[in-house]
This record gives sequence, C-alpha cells and structure tokens, in this order.
Amino acid sequence: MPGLTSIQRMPVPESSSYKAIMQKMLDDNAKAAAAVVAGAQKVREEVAAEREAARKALLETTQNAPALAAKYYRQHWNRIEKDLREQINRDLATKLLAVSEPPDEVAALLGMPEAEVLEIAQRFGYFEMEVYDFGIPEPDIKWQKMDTTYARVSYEDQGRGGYVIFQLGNTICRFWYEFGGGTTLVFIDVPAEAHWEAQTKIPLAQRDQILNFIGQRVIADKAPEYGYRIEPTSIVIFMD
Amino acid sequence: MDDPTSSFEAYAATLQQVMTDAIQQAEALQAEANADREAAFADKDKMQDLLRQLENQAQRKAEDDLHARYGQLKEEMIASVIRKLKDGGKTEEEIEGLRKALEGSR
Repeated sequence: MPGLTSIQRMPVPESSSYKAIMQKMLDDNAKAAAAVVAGAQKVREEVAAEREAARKALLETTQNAPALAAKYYRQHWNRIEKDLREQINRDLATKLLAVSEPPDEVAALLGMPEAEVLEIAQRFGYFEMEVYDFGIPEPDIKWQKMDTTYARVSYEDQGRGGYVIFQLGNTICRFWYEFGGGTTLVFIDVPAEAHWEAQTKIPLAQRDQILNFIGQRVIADKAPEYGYRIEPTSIVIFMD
Repeated sequence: MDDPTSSFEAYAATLQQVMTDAIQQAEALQAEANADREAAFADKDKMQDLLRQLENQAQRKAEDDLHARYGQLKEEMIASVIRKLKDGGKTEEEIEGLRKALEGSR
C-alpha cells in the first residue's frame, strides 16, 4: 500500500522533538477549546443584552401605559372623526344635489373635491357625463357641464303647454312652451336678443350656446325623433 | 497533573479533557443563553399584548365617544353650510328650504 510505504519511509524524530510537537498540539488544542468557550460566551452576552433590552422595553411600556393609551385614543379619534366627516359630507352632498344645488356649489359648500361630488351626482343620476341607457328610471335632475358652470333642463307640464326650466349654476330661467301643429311639435318661447340679459340675467354672449343646449336637451329628453332650430324668439322642435 | 507529554496516553487524555471541558462550558453558556432568549421572547410578547390591549381599548373608546358625538358633529357641519349659504347671498326662504333638506333623513 502506498500510504504504509510512505509511513515506513518517514524519519523517526528524536524524543525531544516528540515533546515539542505534542506541546504544540496541546497549545493549539487549548486555543481551539478557548475559542469554543469564547464563542459561546459572546452569544451568551448578546442574548443577555437582548433580554435586558426586552425587560426595559416592557417596563417602559408598562410605566407609559397611560400616555400610550392617550396617544392611541387620539390617533383613532382623528381617523374615525375624519371618516365620519367624509360620511356626513357625502350624505349632505346627496341631499343638496337632490334639491337642485349644482355640483360645484355643493363642493364649495362642503369643502369637498368637485370630482367626489360629481361621482355622487353620477351615482344618483344627477349628472350625465355622456348618453347611456342602463334601463333605470331617468331622474328629474340631470346636470351637465357647460363651459365652467353646471347646467340642466327640467320641465313643468301644464296640459297643452308648460315651462322648460333652464338652470345655469344658481340662475334659473323659465321658458314657456306650447305644442304646435303640422311638423312642429313644440315652440319654446325665449327672450329676443334685445331682452335676453334683462330677462335672464345671463350675458348675451352665452345666449346661442344656452339655446342650443336647451334644444339638444329637449330632443334627448322628450323628442328623440325630432330636430330643433333656433328662431329670434323661440326654439322650434320639429319633425326632422 | 502529570506531564501530558510524558506519554501518548497522557497526551491524548489531556487533549480530550481540555476539549470536553470547553464543550461542557460552552453548553452551559448556551443553556443560559437559551433561558435568557426565552425570557426575552416572553417579555416581548407581554409588551406586544399590552400594546394591543391599550390600542384596542383606545379604539373602542374613540368609537363610542364619536358615536355619541355623531349628531353634534352633523349639526356643526350643517351650521357651517348654512353660514356659507348666508354669506353667499341666499335668501332666508332659500336657506330654510336647504336647511330642511339637509336635516331630513335620506
């Protein structure tokens, strides 16, 4: 065997050399043993420090319990109060929208983001972003945005006639309408340009836009198969 | 103690004894560390339990207190809206109508 051969060939050391080798091995062994103990001691000290920290933290927490309870109470109070205020705001917004307050006014009154009020208005059908048909009853109040102001058209029927009610923000205009004959379904009386501002309190510059808005709204709400045209003192809804 | 280098037996026994003693000592230290670690965990658990208890009690109290204040809070918010409506130039009649709408149940 090669190993045995090499051992047999190893030179035999002197007795004093044996002692020196053994002493070195003993010293190395003692160092290794000391390292094992030192490692364990280090871990022991780290854990002792960890235990002391945990003990102190528990003691401090126990001693500070009243202050901590007060801090938690304040945090929860603030959070719940904020939630409640938002909940009440949404409730009040819904009620204001239901009595025809325009969405931007509602937002300003309640200090709410206008987008949030619009979301409520849309959910309850008080605002129409675009034409849709979900098969649900159409609400009476339906705002649309005209430039920067909310506008809507509603109707007050009185037999052969009635009122088309136009609201722009908080400004309300009532225009008399009557059913016509032949190809004309309805005449809606509107002030002539000369009397527009005096009668409506709305700048003349907005007249065309408003009359078109009313015409489009009436067609969409009441006469889908019809068209409209604007004449000097009326909007005419006619068979298209 | 005999000279450990005097014989192979003494030498081997010394090597083994030194390491055995060291391991025994290390194991004792490890056992103490384990006991401390358990104690630390127990203290941490107690602290977490205490914090949870404090927070739960605080939350329940805040909920109860605010539930009791709900009506007052709503009245304050309605009053604020009414003030803004007055400042905005609404008539008394309009404001009264809006107040009724705001105070009514949905």
